[in-house]
Amino acid sequence: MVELSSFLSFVSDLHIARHVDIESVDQSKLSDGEKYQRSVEKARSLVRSFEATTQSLFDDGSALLMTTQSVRHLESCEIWRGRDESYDVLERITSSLKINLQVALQVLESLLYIGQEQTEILERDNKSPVEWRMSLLSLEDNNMADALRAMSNGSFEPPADEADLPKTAHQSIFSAGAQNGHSPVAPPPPIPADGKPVAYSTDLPWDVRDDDVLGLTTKAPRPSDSKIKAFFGTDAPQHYLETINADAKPWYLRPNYDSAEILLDPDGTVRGGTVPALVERLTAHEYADPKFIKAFLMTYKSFTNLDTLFTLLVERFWIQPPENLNAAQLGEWRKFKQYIIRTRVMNTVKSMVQDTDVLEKEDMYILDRMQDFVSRDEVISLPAAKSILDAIKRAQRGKKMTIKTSHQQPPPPPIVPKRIDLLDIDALELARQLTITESQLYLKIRPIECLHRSKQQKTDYNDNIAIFIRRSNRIANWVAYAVLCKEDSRRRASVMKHFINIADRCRSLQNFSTMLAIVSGLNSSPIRRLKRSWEQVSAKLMSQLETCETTINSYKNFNIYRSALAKVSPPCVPFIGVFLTALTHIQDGSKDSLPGHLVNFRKRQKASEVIQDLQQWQAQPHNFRGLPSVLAYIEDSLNQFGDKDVGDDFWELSLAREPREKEEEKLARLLHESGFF
Amino acid sequence: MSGITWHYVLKFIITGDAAVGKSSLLVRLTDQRFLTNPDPTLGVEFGSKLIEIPEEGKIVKLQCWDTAGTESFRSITRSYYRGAAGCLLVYDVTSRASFTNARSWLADVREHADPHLTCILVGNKVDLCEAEDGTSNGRREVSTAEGELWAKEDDLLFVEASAKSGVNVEIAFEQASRDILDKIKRGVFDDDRSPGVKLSKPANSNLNIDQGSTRPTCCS
Repeated sequence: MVELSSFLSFVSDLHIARHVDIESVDQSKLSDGEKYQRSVEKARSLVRSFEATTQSLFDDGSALLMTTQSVRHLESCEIWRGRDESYDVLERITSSLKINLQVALQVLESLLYIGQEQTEILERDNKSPVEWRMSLLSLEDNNMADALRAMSNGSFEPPADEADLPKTAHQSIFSAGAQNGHSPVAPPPPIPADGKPVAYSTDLPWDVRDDDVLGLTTKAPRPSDSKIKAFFGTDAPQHYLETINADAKPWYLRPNYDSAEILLDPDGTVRGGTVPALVERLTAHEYADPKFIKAFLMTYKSFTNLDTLFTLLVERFWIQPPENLNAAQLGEWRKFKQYIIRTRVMNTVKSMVQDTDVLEKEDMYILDRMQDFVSRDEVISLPAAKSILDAIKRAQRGKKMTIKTSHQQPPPPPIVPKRIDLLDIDALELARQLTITESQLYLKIRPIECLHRSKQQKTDYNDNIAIFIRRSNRIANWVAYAVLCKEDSRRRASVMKHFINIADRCRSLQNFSTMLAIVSGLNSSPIRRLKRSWEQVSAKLMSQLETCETTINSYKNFNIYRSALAKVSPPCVPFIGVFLTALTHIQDGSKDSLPGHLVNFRKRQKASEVIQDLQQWQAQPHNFRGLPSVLAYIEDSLNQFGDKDVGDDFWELSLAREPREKEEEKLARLLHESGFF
Repeated sequence: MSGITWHYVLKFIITGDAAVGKSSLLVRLTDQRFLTNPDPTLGVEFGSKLIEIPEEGKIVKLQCWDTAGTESFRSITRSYYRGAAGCLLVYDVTSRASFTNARSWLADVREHADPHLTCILVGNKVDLCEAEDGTSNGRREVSTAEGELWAKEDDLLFVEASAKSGVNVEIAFEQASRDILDKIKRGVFDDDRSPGVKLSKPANSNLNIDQGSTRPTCCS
């Protein structure tokens, strides 16, 4: 990790623009102009592939970091989700890293070579506009030569149309060029157009380092966009991701889809595309986009089906070289395109088999097709194939990759009740026992169920989400009935107080789901109207109840709850209604497809983000020791009404307990109760 | 304009079957941007809207509580009813089932909400009735007359609307607000006590109102 990060920061510090000229020069000034021009073009394309590779390195690096952290996290909590999976992910990222590092190395070597070539040309030519000075420092391992070519005199002259730009803008642009990891390699210092020496370039801070270049660029007084464009050509920094599609690459290394088939947002995320183009993106040779891959595999069923996806993946694997390539080009094509695409196809297949979220029970038939594919001679020879085949076989035997691990921390000792009766069970323990089941049911919710709900809305679902919701309603009914079944208002108040305490404990256990179910039971109209009972609940408890209510206030799209949840660390059982509402908004708020028969992928991306939010709370369940007697008591209590709508019955019961009374009746009762009569 | 001012804050609930387009109505009313870029985490003002009722010379702020996606959390959605001054009861004119179910939603509202609550029946998705071939009633399953009749019987306001085209959406909310303002004038609601209506303090202290307790005390 450390090596990788130092390599990356080293690469970021490389000032390629200073070593290699990738801008065309006035050829007439050079005797070897034509040759120079050729090398410039070559360098340019290399720099671009270098950019892409560096970008992939950053992507892979961050993915690696994330995974390593989650592995460590998993190890420390030892939870049910198998560590093996994460190690597989690590392995995958590492192999991708290796490939990208190799590519980066090759590109850098070629760049160095070209740089030297250019220097030779320039030095042979006395008319050379710049006196280049070069010192080659080191070239070892992954560390590239830190060639330093400082400018010795101020003979640079900005192109005419740039001459009036504010100097700060220049500086920021140049520093953008000087920094290679986060932003593209910018063109080198402007090449003289007329050879008139200008002193100001010596003022330029050429040693500008890893500053937040993009930030600088925005802060700097900005020349008009058109000027920036004129300066950078099509490669203005904010569009650097477009270089993936850029014309700069040799044509045979560009993506296959044309620009009408995919729509990218300015930040490089996919807005929409045809299914084949999206699959191409999924297995892109230019760079890997883990967020895209995750969203794609989570939501593909909403715009295509498994068979089509797999067929497209296989087609992608057998990608053919374009015609008319010479041997060298073919070699490059194999190395920089075919090999990477194949690796990515294999990785995708592996993800599909191994990630517990991708294939559902009814999808398992695809394993046979996968096995046929991976067993083919040309495929099985690839390094990853063997392990994929193993994974397929494991999946065929129906074995999940999940390994149940024990918690590192022992559960707190339970508070065993003397008698199994509502008021005799400690509020905290009751909250814990409720949380055990709630947490288990929450873990069962699958991404595909969320996706179904966002795809089509109907009321008669019978999935894990429905079971979860049913339980919530049953808890509310139980709470209401437990209050109503007491004839005496003091005893009703005791039950209310007990449930407020339980809701409060649920809140501190971060089981917001059960907390809300209890609160909505207490807030149901048959209970709310029991004024005589509520009067006997202390102000302190009332404010506890209010805190619980505020936590989950749905106003402004659950604003309060959202910000509270953002500060919570697991374990936690969130209120899934928020996710369901968000999914409904996404579904209702935008169309499935974009003009031109493109899949609206941004919609899927948003849905997958919501589902991932929901999933993040599944990684670490609550750890309490179950008390069978209490669990059985809860189950009995929850099952007493089934799913019948008991609203009317409760209302009647409520009226019977505390009949509506006029003011004078109330006065009479109060006097009576206080012993005046 | 020096800040946004309003005379009343009215809490609205939007209820009805799943898939009748509740959130689309709300989206259409409150935040057009949502349609092009739905982001559930942005739009914290999503759900509120200022409406002017010129003949009363009043500006009201609508606070809409959307139950979309959580319809089957009956116990929870019911707790949203508490303190609402207005209710949009939505069905889909191309789905008879949603119309039939609207009766049980109304019963639910009547039971759990303030008895003075103003309820407007909204037949949504009229855009689907203008069939491709130009003939009307394309996929309609509930006639306008039928909706009107039921609304009259149960003392509901009534409008047919389309969240998709925007037809009658704002009007639905305006009608309901007008009715509530009328009730306020007639003294049906007590400004201080009635939960779903909050009177703005005069002049410039409106922010306090908005941040003040959004939770009313008990009803019934």
